[in-house]
Amino acid sequence: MARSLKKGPFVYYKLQRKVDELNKSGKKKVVKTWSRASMVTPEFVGHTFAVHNGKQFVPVYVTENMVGHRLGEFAPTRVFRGHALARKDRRVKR
Amino acid sequence: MPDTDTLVEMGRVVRPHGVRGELKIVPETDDPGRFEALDTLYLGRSSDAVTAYTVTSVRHQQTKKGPLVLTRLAGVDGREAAEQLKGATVYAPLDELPVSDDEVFLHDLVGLAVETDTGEPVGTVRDILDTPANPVYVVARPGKADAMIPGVPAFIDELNPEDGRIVIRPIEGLLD
Repeated sequence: MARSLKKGPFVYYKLQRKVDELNKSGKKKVVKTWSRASMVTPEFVGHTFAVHNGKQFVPVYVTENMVGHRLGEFAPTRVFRGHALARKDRRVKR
Repeated sequence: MPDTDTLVEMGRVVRPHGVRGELKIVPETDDPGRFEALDTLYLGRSSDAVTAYTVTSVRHQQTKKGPLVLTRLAGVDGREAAEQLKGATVYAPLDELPVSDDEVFLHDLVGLAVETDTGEPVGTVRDILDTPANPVYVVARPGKADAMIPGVPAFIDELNPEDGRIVIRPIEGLLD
């Protein structure tokens, strides 16, 4: 069942407080969180969250297309390492 | 046959498609459209035991689980022949892949030295995590825990495999 619209998206209050402080001060800082269930809201865009995956904190840089998803979706708890030294056609821009 | 060191993994054959020998491939590439530029694909269980096949057709399919590539290869004419290739890894030679000057393969970044924009050395790229948000460079630091750097322009100042270095723009808390 979908969450009631009346409540708005779930964001852990301490995380929301930290993001509000960063937005107010205009500072950029990595925000550590264990709250994987918190939803990405438009205020999060441009900030970096270190989301705990049960073992370590995975840095997640939030972009506009992540809004509406939960932070945990971007920090996998199980990582398939692939075959040793697999050279895949994955690229990044310089 | 190209040198096995120059083969790049493009995908994996999951099953035959239809009865005319078409193969269903799960792409391991950022852009499945790159299959269209390839005339030859190399299929095998590992990169040192591959067979070359000429590509006769490529088409794409969108599914709920992501994109698929449907390929026909010369010499693979029926479902039985296609069934033999089920589970094979699909490779392409590096020199046949279109690579623009501003692109770098992720596997080429492993082993590069990382330094900050102020010239402070951080460590060496040990691994790259392919997370749904962004690639994450795992940087081994001597005497410290590994640092994780998101591979996005907001943090990466310069990616230079030729010089063997990556220059990052860290923010507070990134290198803790």
